[in-house]
Amino acid sequence: MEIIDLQDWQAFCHGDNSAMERLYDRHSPALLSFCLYLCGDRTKSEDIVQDSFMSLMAQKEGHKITRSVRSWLFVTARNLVYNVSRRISHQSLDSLSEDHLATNSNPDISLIIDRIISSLPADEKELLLLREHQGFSVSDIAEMLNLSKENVRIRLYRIRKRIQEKERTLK
Amino acid sequence: MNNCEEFQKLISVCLDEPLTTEQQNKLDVHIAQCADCRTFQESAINLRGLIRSLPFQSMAQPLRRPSPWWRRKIALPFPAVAAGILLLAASWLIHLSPTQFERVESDAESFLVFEQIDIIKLEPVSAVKLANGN
Repeated sequence: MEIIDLQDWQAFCHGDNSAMERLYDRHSPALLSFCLYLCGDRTKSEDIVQDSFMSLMAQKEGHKITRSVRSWLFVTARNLVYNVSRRISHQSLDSLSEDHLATNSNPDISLIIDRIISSLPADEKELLLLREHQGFSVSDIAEMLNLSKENVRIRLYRIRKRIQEKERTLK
Repeated sequence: MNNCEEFQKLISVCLDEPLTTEQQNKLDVHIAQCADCRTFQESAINLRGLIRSLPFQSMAQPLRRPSPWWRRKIALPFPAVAAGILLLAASWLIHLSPTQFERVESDAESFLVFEQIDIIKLEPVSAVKLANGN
């Protein structure tokens, strides 16, 4: 996918606007899901996805993106989510977790996952989503979040351990 | 490496990256004997399955061009708006302070005096009258 992304990106930089539409169609659903689980507000998440693509288009001058377009989009979206949540001081990321329940087809699974995800602090939530929902590798995540690979491995272990302990208490 | 914590870290790593053959063999032997570590492995695999079963959402709108700045909504934070209003009110009160009233009044008086002076008609006086002091 990364090669196709870079090809489309290069095409967009050379004036092919349909290449940006292809990038949007390919990545916006995953990006929206990520934002939605991170901040819980559908309208804000859609705005953030749009803004992320607008920022991507603004990188056209100077062909600033040389590596993964997908990673770039997720890092930008993640930063925008934190900017928005900082502005909404009375609502924490953890308390914003209702919209995605209504959009999932299986309410039982949604409830379980909602409990699991919403119980995590924001930094652990994003790490879990990037790894388990979006399928980014440990190396990718380390680069995206500016962490060492070892740190990512340890954090993932702690999250999994904590969730296992929570499952025990829920049972 | 004998304690369960170390093996569980390895189980977690194993879900993300391939282990060396030696690590994998040790882990397999331990998991076969340890119920706690087996439970941890099952829990982590279940969690992955649950999260990966989540559908991706679809955007309600296609990619849109940014709206011009004059059409964008301006959202000002409440404290900034309140501070601005207070600042305006304070500067207005300072402007209408008593010293300012006095200055306005004195300006008005001097204007009137000027008006009075202005309407005095000067008539030609003879040299005799001036010598007599009238």
